[in-house]
Amino acid sequence: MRLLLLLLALWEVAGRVWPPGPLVPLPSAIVLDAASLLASGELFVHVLRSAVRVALGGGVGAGVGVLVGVALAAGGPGRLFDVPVALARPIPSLAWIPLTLLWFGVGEGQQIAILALATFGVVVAGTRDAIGAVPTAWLQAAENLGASRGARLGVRAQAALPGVLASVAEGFAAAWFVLVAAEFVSATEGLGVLVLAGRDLILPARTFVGAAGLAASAGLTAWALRALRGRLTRWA
Amino acid sequence: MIRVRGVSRTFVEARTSARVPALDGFELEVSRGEFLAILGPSGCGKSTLLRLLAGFDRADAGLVEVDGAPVTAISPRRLLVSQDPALFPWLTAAENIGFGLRAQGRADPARVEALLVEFGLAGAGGRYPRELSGGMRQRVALARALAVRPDVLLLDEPFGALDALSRESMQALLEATWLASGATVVLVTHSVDEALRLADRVVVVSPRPARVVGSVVVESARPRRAGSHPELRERLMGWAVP
Repeated sequence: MRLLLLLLALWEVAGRVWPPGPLVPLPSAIVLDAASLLASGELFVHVLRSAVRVALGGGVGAGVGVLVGVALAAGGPGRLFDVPVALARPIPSLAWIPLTLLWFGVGEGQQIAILALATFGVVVAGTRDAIGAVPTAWLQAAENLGASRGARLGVRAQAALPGVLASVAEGFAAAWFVLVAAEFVSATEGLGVLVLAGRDLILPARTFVGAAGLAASAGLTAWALRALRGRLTRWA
Repeated sequence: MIRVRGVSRTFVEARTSARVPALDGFELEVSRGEFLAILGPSGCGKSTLLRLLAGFDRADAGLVEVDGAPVTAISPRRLLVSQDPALFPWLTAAENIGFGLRAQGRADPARVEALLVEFGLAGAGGRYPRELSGGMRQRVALARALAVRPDVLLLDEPFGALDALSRESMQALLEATWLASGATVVLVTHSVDEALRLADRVVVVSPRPARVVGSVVVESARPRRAGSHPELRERLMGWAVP
């Protein structure tokens, strides 16, 4: 934090000694722009719209990702998902933008679909791996102690929980990562729109405000999910 | 009674694809309520034998029988406790001990409480495994196994990772609980002293594939002192170190 403040101070001083021109904003200009957006309530609206999109897209992607990950780990008919998931895994979620535009049209649904796809890819692999990594010794110990098939599934679920929750957190991070690109397509409000406004309105400070908002929102999400994970897996 | 007749088990080495016989025509009998110790070098097939007795693994050939019935599956009647206690980390010590009882629909908090006291874990029942020392974790594992009152207790070097003092106290605890429970115990160990202190009978097995090369009956009264039976020790060492 201190290093960051020092860098900002150096940037400010250097910018005042050697003015960089209108396309490179000084930290003070970014702070002033952020303050004006805050005062007007505009920043809050942008953050809220993006947060809702991430919550919906990330939530759907994580939910479906956990279910498909469980099916993959369970084997049997669940293995049907194996090949499609393996083939789709290396494809960046942004590559699906044209298809989601065709399927969902221009609008909120398409943006949420992109975020859901980004989250899904991470969570499905993380869930499958977390379940696959449950030590056989715990499952055998449970069976040896007389646990039924259902109780052994409970053991597997408990043992995999930290890994699954970690992959959900990674999935939400991925959703924040692709948010700007998703909002570039058609959004009128959101942090991606703020970032884009730097170019459209020739207000480079606004791009920095949007980027800082993204970093803060993604960081807050990561912190909240880490806290939830800590609460649910106090034993780990 | 445990009866092992002509049992063979071969593994295929992942790296070289070579076939490695762990057991080849292995023979053993253990009487009901007997405490048997098996001594042998590392990797000789002792653990394989215990896993076959527990039903964790199947023999390629031969017969593994407990009380006249072939062992075909894992059962809470034959409990295996290993050096790795395999405690469930999301359960407290008390919940771990009560796991088997709960799993069988026989939850018994009073028995769990009694076992916590008996195993010197009073006050530690609410702690998670990561908050326990190695010795305490092993106590929990043993208490968890005994909670379901198994007919056969299979112990695979359960005290191998403990320091000398913890090991000493665990041996005393095991002896006391075995005497009280009347279960049949098969203990795999590297320690001649541990075998002589605890067992009614000690068998020595050869390097892989394991076969019994000698057996001694330990007849002295309990509790036994560490280092007793120098003559038996010498005989066992003679078989163990050719």
